[in-house]
Amino acid sequence: MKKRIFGLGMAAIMATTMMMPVMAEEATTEADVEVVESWNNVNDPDYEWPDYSGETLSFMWWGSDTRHQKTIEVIELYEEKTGIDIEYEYADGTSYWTIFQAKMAGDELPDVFQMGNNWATYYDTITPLNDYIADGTIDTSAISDTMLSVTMNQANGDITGISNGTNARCFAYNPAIFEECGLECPDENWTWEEFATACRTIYEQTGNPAITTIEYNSLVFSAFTQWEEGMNFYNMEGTDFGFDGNMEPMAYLIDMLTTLMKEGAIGDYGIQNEIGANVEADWIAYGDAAMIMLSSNQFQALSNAAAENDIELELCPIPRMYEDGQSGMCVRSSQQVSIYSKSEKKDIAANFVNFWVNSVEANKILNCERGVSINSDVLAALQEDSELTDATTAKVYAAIDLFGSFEDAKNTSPAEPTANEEISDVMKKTYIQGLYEGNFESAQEAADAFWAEAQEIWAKFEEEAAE
Amino acid sequence: MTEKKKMTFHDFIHNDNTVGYVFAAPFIIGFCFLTLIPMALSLYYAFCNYKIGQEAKWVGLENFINLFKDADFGNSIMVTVQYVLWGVPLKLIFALLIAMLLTKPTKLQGLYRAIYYIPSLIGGSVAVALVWKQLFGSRGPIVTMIKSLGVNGFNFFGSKTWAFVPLILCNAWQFGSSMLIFASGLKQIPKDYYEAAEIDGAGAFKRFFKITLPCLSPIILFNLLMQLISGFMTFTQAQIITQGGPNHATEYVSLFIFTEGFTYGHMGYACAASWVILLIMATITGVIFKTSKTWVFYEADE
Repeated sequence: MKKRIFGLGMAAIMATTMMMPVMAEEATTEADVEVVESWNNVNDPDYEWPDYSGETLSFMWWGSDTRHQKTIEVIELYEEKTGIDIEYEYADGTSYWTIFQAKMAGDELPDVFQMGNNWATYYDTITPLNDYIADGTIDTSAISDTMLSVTMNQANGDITGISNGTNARCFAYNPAIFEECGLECPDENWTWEEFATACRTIYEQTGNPAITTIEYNSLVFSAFTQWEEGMNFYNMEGTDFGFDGNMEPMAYLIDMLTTLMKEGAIGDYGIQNEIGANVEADWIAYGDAAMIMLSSNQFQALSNAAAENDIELELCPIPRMYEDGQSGMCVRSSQQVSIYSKSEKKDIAANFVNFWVNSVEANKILNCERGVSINSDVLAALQEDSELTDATTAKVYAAIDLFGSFEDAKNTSPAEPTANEEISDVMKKTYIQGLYEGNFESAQEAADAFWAEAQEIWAKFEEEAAE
Repeated sequence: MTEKKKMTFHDFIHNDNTVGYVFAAPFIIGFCFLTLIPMALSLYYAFCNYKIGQEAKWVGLENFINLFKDADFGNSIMVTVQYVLWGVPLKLIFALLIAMLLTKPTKLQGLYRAIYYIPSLIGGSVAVALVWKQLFGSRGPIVTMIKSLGVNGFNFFGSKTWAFVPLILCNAWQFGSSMLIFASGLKQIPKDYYEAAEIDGAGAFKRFFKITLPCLSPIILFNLLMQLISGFMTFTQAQIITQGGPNHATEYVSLFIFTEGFTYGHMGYACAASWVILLIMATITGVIFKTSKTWVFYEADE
């Protein structure tokens, strides 16, 4: 095996701490720092790039065209620095998992791949990165413990990957429409009641639904968090449900949303399905809808599309149950890079991951398109650069800062249990849409029926895992 | 005879059977690896608890028992049957109608046929599904037209009752291949039958029902079976246009199988479902074949 050459550790740490005063605190509180002898600091001007000429590495990710271009640029940069040849493959968000499963079945996954918060489902394919972090191959000196733990398996402490950035599911709105309708713009603790009033007023005045894209299942999960402190749909470890079967939060929320939909104040499931994951196609970009629910990292793309129609958008949190209650927001890893458990080039892969996450040069190309960088040095460097941080990006940074300041935003379940995919899909298709179609007498009945099926699905997955 | 026993390599290579097999080899290899082996595997997995990337565990008939209890599976069969019952006759009627129009000999006949055949060629593709999605979508021309008639808030894909209509129309629009088969069938019908009928004073309708349909019945049977089978396997349109929604209204069996297998990860269960579908389709085909004796007219029989 080729010997890796690490950057000059101490000098590097000094350089970084001088740039970012915050880092000094973290460096002292983080126990790992003492163990690490030398960080693999790619941003060190004297960094000696390893020579990987003749070697190959494979990498796979999902995303939009913008992301593909940026990612390929970074890959080429790494190839140029190390002489390695990277074979890459990319797909859109939906077909990615079909490809992934096929490759998984054939033991042919790439050395490095993008992974979502559903990593529990693919746990066997992932190499824990703890050793590489401990020996400094993956430099985590500018990444806080909180950010490292977003990709950690809470049950055994395995670090399943390094986050590509953080984001939050939130709302964006068009202040011009709110003003026109004589409404106050959403503030940081607006409530569902205010949301419903806004929807009705906007519908009455414009004739269009006020919002067309809503992630119903994700909102139901939030409703549980908002209902009562300490309550969550899944528990923190992702090993069980996090509430006692009281379905009131779900009933309240889906009752309100279904009523609004029947009135026409929010778009029906058909419109939502048409738009799909393509936020640029949402009605808000044409000035027809006033709000949208989205992931904060999609805001840039949406704003660009809206700007073509001279529309300026703002971000706000999702509405709350009680003005002074829990936010139900969750600032978390949008996705991560992981190393394949059967990779034969784990050392090279770790070096690439280090470059991917920490290199300022690389991240200036990526520019937080996958989420707000978890590396504080990188983020600072991007924010300093006014070309990279325009008004829209600044809004995203500010929003993530704000959501991160909500006490409960850190406590919502970080890991998605394996059964989650089916549970949330069934919730949406059978129960929430079923309520709209009149298959249930009341929202409470739909919510209770959902709870019965959710437990069945959960038991099925438990049984499968136990075998 | 003695010579045959001592077959030389030269004889073997020039043997008709060998030549036949060699030329058929690409198909045979493809059939084995891409059809036969996957089918055998899926039959095995149907009796297992299987997740991609994990060991399959034998569970016997459990998957099948669960299938019969699964309301979503029952629903998916119902909506598929509904789709086939509407879609297939519509498509065949359309294909026959255009085929009859195109039998009138004109110089442009070839061109017309080619034009009408194009949708069939590109019909199953994702691109066409996307076009239909736009066409019938909430911002598309058709909904806009309905809106201008004063109906506000109508949306095909948002309604359980209407969501399947664009899918059926999309299917009927790809009538080209059935049309070509009908057209060639129409040519086979001897002209004298029509002339004789005309002299006897039969009108156009009578000629159609008494001559064209009976003479065409073997071809109708063939087209019916082909379209039934492809109707049962509809996937692309539903996946792209509606994703099975809203509220399972367009979750056809192939989509159900895909969701169970690839989205939820119950591959064994999905395999079991596909075998149940195979049995259902085989039964339907069998019934049609049996009854065909009563309505299909073969000239050779008489």
